[in-house]
Amino acid sequence: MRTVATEDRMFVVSDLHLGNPSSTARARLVSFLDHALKEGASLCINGDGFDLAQTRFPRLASDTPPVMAGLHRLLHADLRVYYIVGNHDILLEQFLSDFVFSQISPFLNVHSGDHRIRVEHGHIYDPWFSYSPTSYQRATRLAGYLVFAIPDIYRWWDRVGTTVDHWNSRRHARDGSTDPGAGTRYHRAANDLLQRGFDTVIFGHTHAAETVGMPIGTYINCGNWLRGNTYVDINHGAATLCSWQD
Amino acid sequence: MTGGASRPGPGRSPLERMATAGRRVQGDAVTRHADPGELIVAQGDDDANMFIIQSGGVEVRRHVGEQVVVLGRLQRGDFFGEMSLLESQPRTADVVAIEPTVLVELSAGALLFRIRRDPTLAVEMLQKLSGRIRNLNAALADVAGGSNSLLVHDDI
Repeated sequence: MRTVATEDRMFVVSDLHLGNPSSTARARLVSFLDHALKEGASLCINGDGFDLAQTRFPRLASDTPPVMAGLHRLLHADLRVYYIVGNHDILLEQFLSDFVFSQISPFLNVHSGDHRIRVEHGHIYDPWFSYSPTSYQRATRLAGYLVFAIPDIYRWWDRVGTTVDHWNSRRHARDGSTDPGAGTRYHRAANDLLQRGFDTVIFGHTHAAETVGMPIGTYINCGNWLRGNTYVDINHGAATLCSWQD
Repeated sequence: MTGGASRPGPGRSPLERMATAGRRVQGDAVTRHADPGELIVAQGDDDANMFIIQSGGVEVRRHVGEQVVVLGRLQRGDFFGEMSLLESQPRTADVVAIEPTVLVELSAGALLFRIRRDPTLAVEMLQKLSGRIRNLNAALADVAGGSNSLLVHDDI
């Protein structure tokens, strides 16, 4: 398992959910990959790039080829394509290693300039996932039928998740189990990692793009491409949350 | 060692010391600051906490007879002291700060909580320990120089 990469310039995208009926990532992603090629940036897909939990095969079959072609163009230009496994694509872990990706891992420690950056999908810090991964995966598959009927249900789900997370963090602060201001589970997980000598921690999973200044570093969530268009630009160690406008 | 804001000490009240111990058990960080040249752990000592380097750097030195052998230098993100923590054995080397250094100190109980909250720490520890075994095997093979005198018998 290789978990270290050295890159001067890298783009990080997350939660493409290719194959999911709700995903509108394909068209934007193809032009974004051309942009990465033009900028000479390697690419990191930070989990849930392909959606096996809620996929429809015809959709997966139509989404995948143009994206793979774009990834091949990056590789032919001597850039790297990293893939971090998320909760919607755990089953692909073995399979993807035979694909185009330079490196597949559960997390990536990126050395860029004189900075150390942790890139990780972040689902292991999701309280619902960590409580019972099996039940979570089953619920995800069941929810896939709902997504098939109402694609926009994902927006509602993301809002509920964010609201519950903030509500829980306030409750934990009130009952004294966490320090006031410690933030959500993801903020606390990022803080634990920053204490281990990282300058920046990048998660995905929540679909909610944000940049948060922590006591000893920065936490960035790179959002999603299911319906969104945010990514993190790592440029000689400086990590910035950006929006891609075609 | 200086300046650790949450460091237990004689000047602190029992309640403050209990609060510090509680944070350790929960895996929360107890940070320590070390100045250049400061001895952080001493060879032969019985204390068994491990340290993660948050910033700065340290040198690992081992006393062999009259000589001091430098085993290596560690930078931020690296850790040390895990052998004493895992095996409850005395320290096998000195660790000395070579620049202003901030450390996260973990006891055995805190490590378990920490790994529960941050499982990737366990993966990175295993990666480093595996790398050290690989290097030791290579060194052993070099010393053996093709002879069978240093064959390792693995009972597993």
